[in-house]
Amino acid sequence: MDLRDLDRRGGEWLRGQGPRSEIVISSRVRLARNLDGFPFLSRATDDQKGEIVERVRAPLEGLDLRSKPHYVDVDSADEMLNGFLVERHLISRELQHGRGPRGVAFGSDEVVSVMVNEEDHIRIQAIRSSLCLEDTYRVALAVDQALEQSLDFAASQRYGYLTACPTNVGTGLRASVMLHLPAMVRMKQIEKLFNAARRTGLTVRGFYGEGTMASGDLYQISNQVTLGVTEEEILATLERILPKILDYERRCREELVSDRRLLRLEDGCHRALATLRAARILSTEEAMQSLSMVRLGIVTGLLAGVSLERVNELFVLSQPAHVQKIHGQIIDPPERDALRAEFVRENLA
Amino acid sequence: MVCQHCGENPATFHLTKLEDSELISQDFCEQCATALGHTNEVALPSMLANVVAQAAEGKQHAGLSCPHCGLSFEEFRRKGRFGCPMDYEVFAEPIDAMLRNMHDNRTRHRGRQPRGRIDERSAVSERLLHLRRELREAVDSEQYEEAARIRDEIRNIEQRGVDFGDTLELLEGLGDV
Repeated sequence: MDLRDLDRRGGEWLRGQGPRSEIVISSRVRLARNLDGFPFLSRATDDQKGEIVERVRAPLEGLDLRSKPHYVDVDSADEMLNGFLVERHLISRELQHGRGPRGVAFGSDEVVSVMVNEEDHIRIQAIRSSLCLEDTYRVALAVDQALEQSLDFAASQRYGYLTACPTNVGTGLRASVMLHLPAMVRMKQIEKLFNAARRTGLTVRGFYGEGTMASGDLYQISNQVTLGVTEEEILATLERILPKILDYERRCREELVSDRRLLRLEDGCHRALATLRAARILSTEEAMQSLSMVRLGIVTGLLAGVSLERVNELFVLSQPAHVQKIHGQIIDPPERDALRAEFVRENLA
Repeated sequence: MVCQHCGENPATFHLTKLEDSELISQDFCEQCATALGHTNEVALPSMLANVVAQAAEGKQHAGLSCPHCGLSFEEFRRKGRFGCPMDYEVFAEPIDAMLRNMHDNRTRHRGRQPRGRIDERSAVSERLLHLRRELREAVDSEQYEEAARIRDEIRNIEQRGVDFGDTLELLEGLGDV
């Protein structure tokens, strides 16, 4: 399969357009499903995993994803390609580092991706630009219903959809938004977000999910409860609490552009852009931090001439596997940092 | 959870006592708890009570294991992952407190129901899980003829689908399981 054309652009969800896109990068919905009559993956043999892939693959390739779905056999794909898929949020690190038959199907616009044999037999994901949880849920639901035409999912009256981990049972639904919160970080208010989230039954994670650092001031916020609530209630809870978080970030941004702080912010944003446009050596972390400042500069009107979409894309395209994929080979970190600097310079010229 | 005294109001007062080295959990509504004089005792908040109940239940069910996938409750507690869909029923009692902890005191699904009638499907899925386990054992012990026979049986069941007649027939065949 040819993935070359994906190298230099991001998925549709990085477009930077739509409601609250000054803070909300994307909305994501994930549904966990398992085939009826099969053991879960921790007790499945490689033969059984192969059988699951075989069963699921035809329905997946028959999905209408506004393009013919790509299918990547993650088990036989090389390290670079799998890393590339992780960085694009098409697969999880768990699938990347799993073993035995497993794979992913996704459309060219990368709105939908379906992992096979991750923690559950099937993980449907839909991800879209900006704040649009309901639309995103509807996309995931359509995929779920299409697959249900030919596959029986494990479920019970009492517990709903049955999943390998009891934290996902019931709806199997995890809804999340990716937020860019540079002002809350700079005003040292991010701890408040963690506390507020804990109290309201939400979970906060970094850019690449569970256990990852919040690189580039990017945070994912998702529901914790999946059982005993309807899908609509899960979305409604997030939608009720999110405006408060967004409003808090907005107020922090207002404070940063207030008279006594403005010069400092302006200086920081221009320096960050200058770094990205001039650096000859650029680590992933420095790229992420500078991109975050540039993004803050754009949305506060301090920087012009760079699009939100370009910056959003560079958050992903600056990641290590992307740098290597663009050059078609495994490259050591020092050389990678030089190639990243070159690529970013070209993109922000 | 309803009050175990009046059986009507939701239980908001959770009491955990140690009696003869046995942990005893009691759940009352505010009124009954006051009426019974429990409000003077030091009460654990609901979540902590669940954690304690979880630990007590874990100990009590340590020997339990799933006849369908072989997962023991002990192993589940260590890894936090189930082995097959039937585990939810097999371990229903010991996982109750854990589910309450994870899901804000909820234990019953209220969301979308999947296509098809689940009740009719469970006997078939149970049988399939069993056959797949037997198949695995047959392959492991290099009994290839037996493995082929089991494979055919799986195929047969899957092709016949899940209509009600088949389920009844299968239930009869389940006598020795």
